[in-house]
Amino acid sequence: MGIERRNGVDAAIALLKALAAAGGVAGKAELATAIGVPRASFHRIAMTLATAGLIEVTRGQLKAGPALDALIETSAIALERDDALRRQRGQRRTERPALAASGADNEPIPLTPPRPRHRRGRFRIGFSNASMDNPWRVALVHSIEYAAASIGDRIEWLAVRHAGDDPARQIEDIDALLAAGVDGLIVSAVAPNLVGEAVARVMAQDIPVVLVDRGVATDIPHTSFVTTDDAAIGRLTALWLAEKLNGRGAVLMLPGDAAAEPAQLRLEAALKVFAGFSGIDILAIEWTGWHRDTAYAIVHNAIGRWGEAIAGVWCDSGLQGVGSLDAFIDAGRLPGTIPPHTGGDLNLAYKLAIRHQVPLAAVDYPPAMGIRALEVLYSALRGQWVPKIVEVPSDVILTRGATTRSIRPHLLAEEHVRWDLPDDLILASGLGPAYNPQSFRIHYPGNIYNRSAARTRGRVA
Amino acid sequence: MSVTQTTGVVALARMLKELGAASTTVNDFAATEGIARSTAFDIAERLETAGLLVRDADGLMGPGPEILALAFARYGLARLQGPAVPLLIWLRNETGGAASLAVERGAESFTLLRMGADWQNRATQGGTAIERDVRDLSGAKRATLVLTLRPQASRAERLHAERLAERTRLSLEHYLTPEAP
Repeated sequence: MGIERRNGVDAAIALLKALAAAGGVAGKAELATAIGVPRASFHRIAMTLATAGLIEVTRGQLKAGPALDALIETSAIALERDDALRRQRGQRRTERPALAASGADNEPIPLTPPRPRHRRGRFRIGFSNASMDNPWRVALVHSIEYAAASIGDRIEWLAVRHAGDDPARQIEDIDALLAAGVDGLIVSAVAPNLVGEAVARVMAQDIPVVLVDRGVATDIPHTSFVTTDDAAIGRLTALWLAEKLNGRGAVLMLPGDAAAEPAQLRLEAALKVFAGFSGIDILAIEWTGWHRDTAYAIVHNAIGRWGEAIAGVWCDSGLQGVGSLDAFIDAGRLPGTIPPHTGGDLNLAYKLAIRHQVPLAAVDYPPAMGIRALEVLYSALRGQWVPKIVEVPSDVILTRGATTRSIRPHLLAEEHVRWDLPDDLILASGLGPAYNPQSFRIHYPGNIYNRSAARTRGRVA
Repeated sequence: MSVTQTTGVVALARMLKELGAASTTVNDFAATEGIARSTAFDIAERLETAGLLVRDADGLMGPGPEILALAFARYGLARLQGPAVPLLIWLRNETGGAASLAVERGAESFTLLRMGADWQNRATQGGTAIERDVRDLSGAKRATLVLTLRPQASRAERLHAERLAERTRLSLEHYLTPEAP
């Protein structure tokens, strides 16, 4: 194509963009100057675009034209189709509102505008994972892999690296993924204030970064943060326990990992609730690292020390909650005599609670957020605006008959539990009713032999 | 401008107009319009670089963000073309209702965007509608935000939805202002 032809096409493009920048209406002289073409050429270009209905030419002015309405309709249909596919992939139920919408009612919902669009047809995606320390983390990896498989050949490859809860190693992982040429990155940070610079390095190269599960320091730029309202998890479960105890009794608190932001937020919220009940005494707050064995040892000692005085046990997850239940069972407590517990997520937690008639309340922390994280990243890579924060909803789950004054179940534990599936199944994975972490295999670009990057050990941690 | 340049601009105009009809590839467009494939691909490439056109993985062309911004500008809403999508999705996800943004076009209503709800199908009629006017800085009404809840929505659901619809309206108006990103 010769230079002369290119100039005409480029001038037409410049005219349309200048008109858009001017808000859809601009003077002819102003536009002609902006695009830098002779008046006669400008006139011919304008009339050609007007013949197609893309613009309207009036005396002295150009305006956006009526043919553009058909483009809006086409785009609306495509967006609806895209949205329907995304919802299918996410298998999300929308008939109930989320636990709580984030942000104040008088604040605009924060959004991230698109960065310069990638021209690559297929995207290279990296996932820097904090650790593989427990079944929940396995489910998170599985959910991200599932989302990648669902998007299919729009992805060139997905690469997953695990940091073993070591911030230095996570920084190396992020830098390695950057060097490998990722177009977009998902990060579940080991600790919020330790990997922020590595994330900022990625963002500085106009590569979108979506944080999942755990964030970074608030001043570190990122595209989006996908999580579930940890404060609501802490608040609702603590409120249930306080009401279950009729506002009186000694509570043992077993939060998760002291370095992990979700655990910190849940504990903080729970303590605020308990502070509002003058009859509730906190016996001890013991960090468990979300480990069953650690919780078992703590509760074994606590039973030896306080015995029947332990009126309730607050856990922010069943990952360690099962250790507490084990300790009471091994101490000879009969069904119906183990104190009320909180903490779900893990299939075994529900099995034990039901089997031993333990009143239980939980708000599962859904690994399905991994699916949403990949979807948000995919949208960002395609040049779309995305929410700055995405809160994945979760259900309040109670054992039958455990409803209190303020806390009602969305789901009963007896309906939620899967007796036919392994103990280490995380129930809110978003991977469908047949999901089994021990036999999970998945094909996505970049995956060898359909093996998951999680390589589950197949037992409860 | 030479005849060749004019031919290129005509092809560009037709290509953009065609985006409002059925989806087509550059190859098919070139065949239909009787222009050289190399010309069509060159124009498509330029339009794509400029953000006026997008092509999916199958090569099907669609309107790009820049031409959509111009289209939304017909209704004084150019700045909402990008932000409105995630805002309507958020409202739909948080309430379970169907969310849409419409403008007045003469005597009729013209829908710019809509995000459907899971409960909507051919067998489901009606629903409770919540409407909010979206205004620009001068106070002029630019669009109507409509949230349609499922027919059996409880009073609590409606109150919750009204609160979130109001926040969505506020957000839409925020992103209409020059101060927003």
